[in-house]
Amino acid sequence: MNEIAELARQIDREKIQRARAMTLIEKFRAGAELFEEACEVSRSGIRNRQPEWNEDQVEAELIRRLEIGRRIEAATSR
Amino acid sequence: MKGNDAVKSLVATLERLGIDYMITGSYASNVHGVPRSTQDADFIIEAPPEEVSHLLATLEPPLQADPQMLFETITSSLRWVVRLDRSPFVIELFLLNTHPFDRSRFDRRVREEVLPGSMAWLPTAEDVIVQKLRWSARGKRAKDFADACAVIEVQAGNLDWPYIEKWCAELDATAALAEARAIADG
Repeated sequence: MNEIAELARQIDREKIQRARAMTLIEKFRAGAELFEEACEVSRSGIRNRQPEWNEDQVEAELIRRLEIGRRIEAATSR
Repeated sequence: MKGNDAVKSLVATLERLGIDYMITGSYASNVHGVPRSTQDADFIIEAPPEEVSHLLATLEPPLQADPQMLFETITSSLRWVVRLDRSPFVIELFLLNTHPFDRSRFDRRVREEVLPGSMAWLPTAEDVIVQKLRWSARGKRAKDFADACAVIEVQAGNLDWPYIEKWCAELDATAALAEARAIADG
């Protein structure tokens, strides 16, 4: 196993350990909360690049980017 | 209202109307495996279409149901989309179909406290693994395969392997199961 693969495996093992330590409620909530945090980071980036945009324009750009993500995911599915 | 609030609200409505359901998809694999970000919540419901129409009409803002019923060709299920106003988060409702595995996993669902003070029905870890590998084997998303590997590894030693192997064989996912076990076993 090369160094990168070994590092990736180590990171995965740590994720497994963290998941085992979480309660069911924490794990249930995590998916949407992680998504909302990611969206907030994206909104901040959009506002920084387009400071003249209002919140509706920021949200529309976020939706456009999420749609790009869905298209890429579909196109790269095995 | 945020995504989890929307899920909690829909669960409360389903329970109030007495509609049988379970929460599947990444919410279920997050519970049994390694949590990852998700922008939707998937529900399977067992109800006549007219009862679903009543359910959708019952929803109050900021939840809003798309009026159009869709047909999901991969699962042969009827599907409805519920949107959350001013949020990219969506909830998808799938009608329970007649496939024997879909019936089995619905019948084996378990009731858990998923949010403080809120109980809901979820599939078992075994059924999440089989379903994720089924979709993975049928050319769906690579992340379904990763989710299955994560559930296998997190639940190590606590899985009913004969049940998983039986359904993977019937669903033509035995090769995917072998690959997932090899990865999870590291």
